[in-house]
Amino acid sequence: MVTVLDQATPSERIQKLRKRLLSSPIEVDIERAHYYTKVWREMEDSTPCMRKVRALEETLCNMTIKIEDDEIIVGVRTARSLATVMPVERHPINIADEGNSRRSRRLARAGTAFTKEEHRELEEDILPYWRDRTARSLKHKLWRQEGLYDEEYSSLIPYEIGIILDTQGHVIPGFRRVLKLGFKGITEWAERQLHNLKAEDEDYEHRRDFLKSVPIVAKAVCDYSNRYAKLAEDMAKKAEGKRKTELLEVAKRCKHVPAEPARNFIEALQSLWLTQVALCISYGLGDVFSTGRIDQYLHPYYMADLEAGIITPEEAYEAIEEYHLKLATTPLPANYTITLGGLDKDGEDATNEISYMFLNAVGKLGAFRNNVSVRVSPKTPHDFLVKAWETHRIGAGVAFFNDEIIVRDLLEDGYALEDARDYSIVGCVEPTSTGKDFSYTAGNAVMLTRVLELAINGGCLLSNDNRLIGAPTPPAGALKTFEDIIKAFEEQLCFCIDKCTLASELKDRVYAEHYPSPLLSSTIEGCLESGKDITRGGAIYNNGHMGMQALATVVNSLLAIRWAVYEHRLLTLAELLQHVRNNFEGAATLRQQLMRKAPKYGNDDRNADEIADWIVEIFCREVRKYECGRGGVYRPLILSSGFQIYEGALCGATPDGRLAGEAVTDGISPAHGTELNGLTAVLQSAANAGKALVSDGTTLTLNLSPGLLRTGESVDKLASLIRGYFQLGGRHVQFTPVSTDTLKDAQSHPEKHPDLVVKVSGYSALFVDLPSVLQNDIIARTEFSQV
Amino acid sequence: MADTVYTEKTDLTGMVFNIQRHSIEDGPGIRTTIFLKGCPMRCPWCHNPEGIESQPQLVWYQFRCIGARGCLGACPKNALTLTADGMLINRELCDICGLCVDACPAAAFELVGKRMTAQDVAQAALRDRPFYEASGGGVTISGGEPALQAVFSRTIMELLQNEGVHIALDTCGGMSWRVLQPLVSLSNLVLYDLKTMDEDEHYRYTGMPLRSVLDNARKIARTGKPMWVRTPIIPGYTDDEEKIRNIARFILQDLPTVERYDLLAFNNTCINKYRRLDSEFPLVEEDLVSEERMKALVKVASEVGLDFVHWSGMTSRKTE
Repeated sequence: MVTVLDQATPSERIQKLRKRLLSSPIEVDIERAHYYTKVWREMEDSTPCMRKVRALEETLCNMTIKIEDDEIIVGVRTARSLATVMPVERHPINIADEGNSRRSRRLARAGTAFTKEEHRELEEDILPYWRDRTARSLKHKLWRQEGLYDEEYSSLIPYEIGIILDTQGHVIPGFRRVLKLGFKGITEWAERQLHNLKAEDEDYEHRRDFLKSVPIVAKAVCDYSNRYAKLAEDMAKKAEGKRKTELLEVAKRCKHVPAEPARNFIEALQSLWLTQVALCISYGLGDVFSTGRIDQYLHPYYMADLEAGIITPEEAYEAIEEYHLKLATTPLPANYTITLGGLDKDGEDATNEISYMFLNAVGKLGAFRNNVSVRVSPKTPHDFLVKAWETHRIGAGVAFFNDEIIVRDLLEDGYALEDARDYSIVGCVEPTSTGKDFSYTAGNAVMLTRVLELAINGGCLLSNDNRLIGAPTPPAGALKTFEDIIKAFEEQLCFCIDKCTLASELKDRVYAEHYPSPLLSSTIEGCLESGKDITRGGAIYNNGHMGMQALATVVNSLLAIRWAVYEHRLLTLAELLQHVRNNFEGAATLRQQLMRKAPKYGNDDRNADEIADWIVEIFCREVRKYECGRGGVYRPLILSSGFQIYEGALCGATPDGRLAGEAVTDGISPAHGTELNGLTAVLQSAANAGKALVSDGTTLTLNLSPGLLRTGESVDKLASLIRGYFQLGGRHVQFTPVSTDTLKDAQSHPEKHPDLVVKVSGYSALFVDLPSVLQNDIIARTEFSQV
Repeated sequence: MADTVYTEKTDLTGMVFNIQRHSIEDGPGIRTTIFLKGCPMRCPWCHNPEGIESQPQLVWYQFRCIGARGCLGACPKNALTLTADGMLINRELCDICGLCVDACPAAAFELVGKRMTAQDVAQAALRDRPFYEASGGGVTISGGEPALQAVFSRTIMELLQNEGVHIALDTCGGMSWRVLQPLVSLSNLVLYDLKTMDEDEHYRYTGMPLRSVLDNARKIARTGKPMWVRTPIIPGYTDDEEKIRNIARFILQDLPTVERYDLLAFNNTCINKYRRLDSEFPLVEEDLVSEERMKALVKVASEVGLDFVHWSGMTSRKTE
């Protein structure tokens, strides 16, 4: 379709933009905190929506803005290139952490801290003000009131058994509405609704507050865009030649969008990007506004421009490359996930020229921190799948999603067929409707390793046998059969889900009462219509979610217990738990047996996998019992997105031989090094584990051996691998090309990677088994550039 | 008829050394390759030395050993000695009882070669059927040499054929037609190894005469069965333009059913496999072939008139 572009190397302009992105330090910006605090303080007696939009207005009208050389699409979240923007209203900020956080150190070439003045302002003025006002502190207050607090140990129960983040985000904004109506159209709509609102209407005060706030915030976004127009005009005065023309065009575009409907392709991109930026400023950092079906939004504009002869495919593609780089200007991974391909509302394939162009951009520039979600249906063109695979030659980033299963799941969750077919992926793997939804899809989870601990230790954590945290199930000594453990596990899982959904509901109440979101709401279908903010159930779809992770860690632990205690009777459960408590100190032999002799999930071994199937089934059954306060259902999710490190750090050793502090497993992926039967076996195990209605998504992350992408024929076979997995009912899968770092680590620590298989052109070899000269050779072949 | 055959023989057992899933270089699509133990040839470049002997063999993985020493006491024949350089297995004394395998907590021992029923092998091979269907793949019977366990191979193939699965037979051709013919007729595709067209060389390299290999190839072609011919490109042995040209000519003139000719670059990932069997890879000093060389050989074969020549395998980076 766009073969002409296949050979194109990025233009000099794009290469400069890319280089700048790669060399920018990750900084911290306090401007937003400054303006928000100022307004919040001035408006203590105001209504929540009004206060929120005034704070945003103050920020948008006063924050530093900039236009970089070579930019054609403009808009920055902060004037510092890759800065984290502190969401001061959400949780306490630790200055030392922010200024020199692990995240900054890891991601940044040189994380620049604040200036002395900024430091003083934060420490003396901003942070003290927020201490008791953050969403977190209000959330904790409600938890205490509702019995989620243990007085004796001064501990909040949800944190003992789950992960309930302070954020309430993860949503696809209503970009189509902005493109179609512009913020002026949105303003008019809100004013009309306000005009029609009557004092006797239900929920009058809240609705009035919301509808009055929308025109203010919509105007603030238009003013913000006009500031860019003005800046571009000023810069044009000093510029010459081509750049002068470009800047004048930038000014023209920024005056028109996102205030008015977009009239052409480039305007549409500018409108999308500035809206995205304004939304991110409204939330600070930490919430996720995924872009959604960008190929579907943009395609009509592209076709119209082609027809009218005002754009060439090359020009459109270059703009997409710039937009793709823009999406990488967030330090938060998976923030701006884009969705490509898949079915249209009528169930026909909707893959279009723009879908290919985006994949091309990913393949040429790298995915950076952007997730690229590729929707796959039986109608997806083969060459599109092949193109998606080819991007893996330069690194990970593309994930594959199964339309058939996801549409089925969404129908179960109450979505209309056409909205289900029009789903977008939010964040990592979570499907929702596109712009009609406030089913914020991630941020709440139970810790499955804790469920296990409680189940095998009478409702207590292994670190304290005297403190009952979970349900009062029998102590280890009384668990006579494996079935007893299974029974206790189910009871503890139900207990943890119950507490965590309550904790999530209480968090949602904090947002509804204190932190509504009029700007985002004004774009989402249903809110203007009903006069309700998204936090009060204004959107058309309003589901909750509850996640879990560590599936393989826990399944393998249960299998290890069954194998060692009940089948081979090597020791009693109490004895095994003692070794687990001691982090297997002095029990190396036992640990090896548990790791290498007990069966493992992920090998298409039904006897082992049925435990995974069972846990997922119980989890889904329980989670789906709960109703979300905003009106929908709780949707189950098996994700990780980095929290496998967090849960692992909290968790002591586990009976599968995992040592204390080591990461737990990700999503429904097998534990590293335990998958001994090849990729297809892993896919079979995962497809079975995901059979239940895990409608908020499952993650399966697998290593891609070097060599599997060598020829067109091998790429074809990878495309078939996806088709096969999806026919089995898999929802999502993504592949990480085995990195040079992993191979080097395996070379120096073979014991940590005993089963790392490298496929070098089809020959499977155990990497650690190869002579070092050959290992070096493979390392040299595997230089994937990962950003 | 077919039904009777397989109900009678499903409890028949054979010696299998690997069932490799997600096999992508043993025929079309995604496949499962069944490796049967035992081979009549003795090619010095063999990269599956554990497939040569017909009997199970004990191997020990140094990098898995944690020094628990349970194996030493478990061995009823006292065949094991743990030294600073690793485990010495006295293969005269060892009777492959497998007690050390059970005793080792870290799975450092493995018995290569497992007796399995045809039914179990077929069932294992059918697990990945959805992937065969999605990719146009199937099952490949390989080895060693499947014809050395002809009845077993045939039973597995009958079971798979009844399930409608695409079957490829991977053979070296070094056996009588009487043995090979039933396997060929049960397969959908024959992967056929041709090393050289020189009779003396063939005997020197493989220990087997060339004549039956060529005769069998012609006979397979005469049955109309599709074939993929494969030649390993081994420095000092087969890495020679004239030799490749001769094979290509033979294919062109005598094997009309060949759909594809694969040149497989020399692979030395098997060095430690040999050591674990207490032998040494005869070509341990050999370098990999360069990509340019492989491409040049593909060109040689193509110029003879074949339009389906491919190459694959590891190549040296030296000249890249």
